[in-house]
Amino acid sequence: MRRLLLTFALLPLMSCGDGHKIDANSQFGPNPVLPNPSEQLIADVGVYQVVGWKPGETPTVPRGFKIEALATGLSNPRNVLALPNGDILVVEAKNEASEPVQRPKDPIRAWIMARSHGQSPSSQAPSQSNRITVIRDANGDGKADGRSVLLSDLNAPFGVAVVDGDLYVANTDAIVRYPFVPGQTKITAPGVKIADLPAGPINHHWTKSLTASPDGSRLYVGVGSNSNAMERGVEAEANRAAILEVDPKTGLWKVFASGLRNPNGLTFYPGSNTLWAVINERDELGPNLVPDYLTSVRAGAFYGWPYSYYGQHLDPRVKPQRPDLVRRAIAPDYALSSHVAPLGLAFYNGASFPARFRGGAFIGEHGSWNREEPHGYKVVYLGFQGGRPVGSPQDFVTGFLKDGKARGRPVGVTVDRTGALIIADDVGNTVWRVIWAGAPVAATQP
Amino acid sequence: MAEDTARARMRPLGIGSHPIYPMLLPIPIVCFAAVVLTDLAYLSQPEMMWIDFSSWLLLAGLIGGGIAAVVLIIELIRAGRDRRGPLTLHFVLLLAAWVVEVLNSFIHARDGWTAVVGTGLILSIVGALLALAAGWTWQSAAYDTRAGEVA
Repeated sequence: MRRLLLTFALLPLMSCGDGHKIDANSQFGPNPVLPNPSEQLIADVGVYQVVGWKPGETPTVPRGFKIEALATGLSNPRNVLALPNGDILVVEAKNEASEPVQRPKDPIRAWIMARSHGQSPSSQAPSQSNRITVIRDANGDGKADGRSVLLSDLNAPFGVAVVDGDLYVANTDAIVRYPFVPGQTKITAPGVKIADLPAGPINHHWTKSLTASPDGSRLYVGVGSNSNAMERGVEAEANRAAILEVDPKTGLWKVFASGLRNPNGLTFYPGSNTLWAVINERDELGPNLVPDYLTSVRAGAFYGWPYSYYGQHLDPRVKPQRPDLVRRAIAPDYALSSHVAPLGLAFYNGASFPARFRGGAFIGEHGSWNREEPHGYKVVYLGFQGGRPVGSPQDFVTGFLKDGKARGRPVGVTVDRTGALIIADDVGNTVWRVIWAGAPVAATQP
Repeated sequence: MAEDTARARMRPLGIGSHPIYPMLLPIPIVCFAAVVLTDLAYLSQPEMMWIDFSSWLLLAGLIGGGIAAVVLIIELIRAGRDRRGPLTLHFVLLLAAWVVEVLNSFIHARDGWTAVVGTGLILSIVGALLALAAGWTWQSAAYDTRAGEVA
């Protein structure tokens, strides 16, 4: 166990606020308990050495389910998209660019982050990333029949969407369109750039989540902030911490919703025109602040970042404040607890899982760094009723962290045509597939 | 002979014939004093740039002060009993400034207002005063040395 715990417990200056003791269940749901901000002398750091999966090892799933690797030996798979023909697109990505150093803190932080994102020492990590790989499972038995590199030499891609014979790829700096028909295993046609996206030179939160409206007329792209709490200055945040709405025909775009620190997992609720996203909230205000969240995204809404969180709770670090913006800041729908780092969201629209899963949400939680006790590092299930989240998130896929070492970390999730849950595991370099293996599920459940 | 040895032992660490400690001591004094100014500038106009300035000044002061402290420790070990008194006071003040500014660096690593306001600014002022006091007492230590040598 080579867990890094940089704490100066002996220093009397350490501020031990009320942020340390809290009922874990109190930070789920629409009204999470929000302790007072407590900034440590040294920020809590809990990162875990990446060891990868040994042959035969898998994450853990609830009784009745079965999990198998659909593909291994990938290079930092971050996102997955299931196609109607059964193919799975796997987006493998690394941001090769490094952030400019602004303060002495930055290289230290970069080193810690690199450690927790580190490739496993085993030989399972090929260097070639920044590509999209097609995994084919023609008969749907969970065993990949073939694999092909669809696109390569991309610039830190993350979001993908297929609309009317086109594949849209959200690279870190632009949305690019390629002619594409599911079944294709290689794209040779050159991409057409639809719109530039906020990127370098800082490009702190670089993943650009992407989805299309149900009618295909608009694209929605998540653009994360360039900083934790605007410490890179307000200019660096232009059109960031926002979800942009893009017209794929003209490339024109506008800010759809803002104040969303790092929005990911953009997904429309099945059968609705409601866009949902999971948001990574800010760090370094204590282990139980600020809870990450799942929310429906209202057009034109402002969700607070960086000035406030959960409505009008002011961030003490941000000056000058913007009372005009804070006044109209709205609280999100559902807190997922602090520092869990949700990056993937998929609504269960399959039929092969038991009926209670229908319409619920699977959320890939990449896992915390700013906490001594880890949070996240799992895929959770959250039930929905009437299109709204209900109850508490249930652990669904766990075991990514074991004995203080990271075997993998879940990122993007999706549901394939057979109703299996597909999970991208970036540091584990694996794509997992979860199926129901219990009693047959009645086909006519409501 | 014995007198020559004692004199050699008292000669400060130097490059060529020049002592190196006076070259290093101003680094923490100037840097730590400047942090007070950049912190105050942030107060009057809360731009992250000023916190960045403070953070780098703190790092530069800690590096310069750290090297100075190492040289000073060697001087302390080499110093005769009569010289050790004033040097020790000087060393304690410099060390205290250094420790305070290490803590201050962590505070200044925060992402905005709380990096300065409250603890940060207080530590900046305390650290600067300690560094200035260290510089002030160095003069006494140095003059004592010269007096000793002349005698």
